Amino acid sequence: MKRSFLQMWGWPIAIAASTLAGLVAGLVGDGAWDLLAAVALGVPALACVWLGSRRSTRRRRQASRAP
Amino acid sequence: MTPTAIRRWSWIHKWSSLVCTVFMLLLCLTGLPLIFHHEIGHLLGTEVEAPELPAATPRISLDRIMETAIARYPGKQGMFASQEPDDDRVWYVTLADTPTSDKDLKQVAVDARTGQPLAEPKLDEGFMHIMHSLHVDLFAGLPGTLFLGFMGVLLMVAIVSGVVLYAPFMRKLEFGTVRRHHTPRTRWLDMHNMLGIVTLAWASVVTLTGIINTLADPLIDLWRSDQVSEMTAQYKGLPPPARMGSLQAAVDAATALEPEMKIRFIAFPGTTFSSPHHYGVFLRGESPLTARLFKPVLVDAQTAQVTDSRALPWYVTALLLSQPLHFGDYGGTPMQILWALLDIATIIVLGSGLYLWLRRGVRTTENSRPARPDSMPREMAAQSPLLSGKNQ
Repeated sequence: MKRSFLQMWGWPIAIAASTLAGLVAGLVGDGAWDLLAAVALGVPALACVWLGSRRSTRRRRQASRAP
Repeated sequence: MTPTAIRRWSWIHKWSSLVCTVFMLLLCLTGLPLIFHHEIGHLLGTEVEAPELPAATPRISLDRIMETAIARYPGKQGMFASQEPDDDRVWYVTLADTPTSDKDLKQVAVDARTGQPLAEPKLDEGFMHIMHSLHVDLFAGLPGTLFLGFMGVLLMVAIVSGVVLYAPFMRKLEFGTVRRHHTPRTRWLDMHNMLGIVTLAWASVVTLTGIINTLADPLIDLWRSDQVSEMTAQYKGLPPPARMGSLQAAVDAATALEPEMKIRFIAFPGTTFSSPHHYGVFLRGESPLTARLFKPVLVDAQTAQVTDSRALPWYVTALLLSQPLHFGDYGGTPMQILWALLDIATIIVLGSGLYLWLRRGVRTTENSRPARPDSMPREMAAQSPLLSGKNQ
């Protein structure tokens, strides 16, 4: 089972785009821009916390199907 | 990707990371308190606090500010005078024996409204000084800085090769999978891959801007020999002035040129940011972006006439832009906290990478394959048809 390009890279690309948007938004202005920066840069930070701490049985089944 | 290509990229990933990991762990750990240096300064009581006065209280002449500062250290002379971007009530005056000294520097914080000395921030001692020196030059000056820059280049190589290897590792796994019920090595491999790919953009930006920051001294030297020498060509060969004119008059001349801009710092004649004949007055804008970019104005130190003012060359602009993107200090407290979280995630990526290498020899008992090169990750051999020679 080979995963398609988007299956493989969709999330990484989306997270990277959000990160870069957040880094730029903070430079553009204060106030609302800083808020936007925090939200966009929060995506990778929260992804780390969530993916790193969740206990999902679904993933486990998925993984155990692998040969 | 062919097995040969995977083996080569694995080799690149392994060695680039192995060489830089210890230093990168040091940089991540010392960088953590540096993100919060203002807050820590408040806690330690080393942050200068200006007394509350009505906001409209007029500012006194910079010449008086300098008198106050030099009275604390007679015999020393002005090197720099600067203000924090968010507080124009305090002048930080740096004094030294000569304009190019790099030791025995003293700093006096002077109230910009009353001319009273407020504090003498210690430039070369304390917890934050140790963190800063370890982070910037390992207490080894420019060679230390350039060495850390080279380690940054290796980290960039490790990041790129890590992304290349991400695909073959993740062929059968959903994004973000951490197989918690497998061996610790598998669990940490998944954690390494997940945190590595999620922090990819942030880590790349902080690494690249860090590398640019290590080139700060050479870039400023280049700017001086390139642009400043051109701007002050008419002074070439003249002896330096014996007596300096009024600093306030020089600053007024500079701000008259750009009334919309504020002073970021002033370099006294003879420093790396000026010429022997000029005050270098560095103005800044007000937006988060332009506040980082300087407009240098060179003012004749005797006559207080503006000699020249030019836009900074692209390489200094790149340096100044790379600073906020490395420090994470331009988006308030939320950004500082996110910076710290991403920094911790990077520490885990580095630590788990080291762990995976240390445990590289560990094989499961059912794995009866012949020995493979160490650079071939065990999970790949166990799971991937790639390594049985089938090309993708």
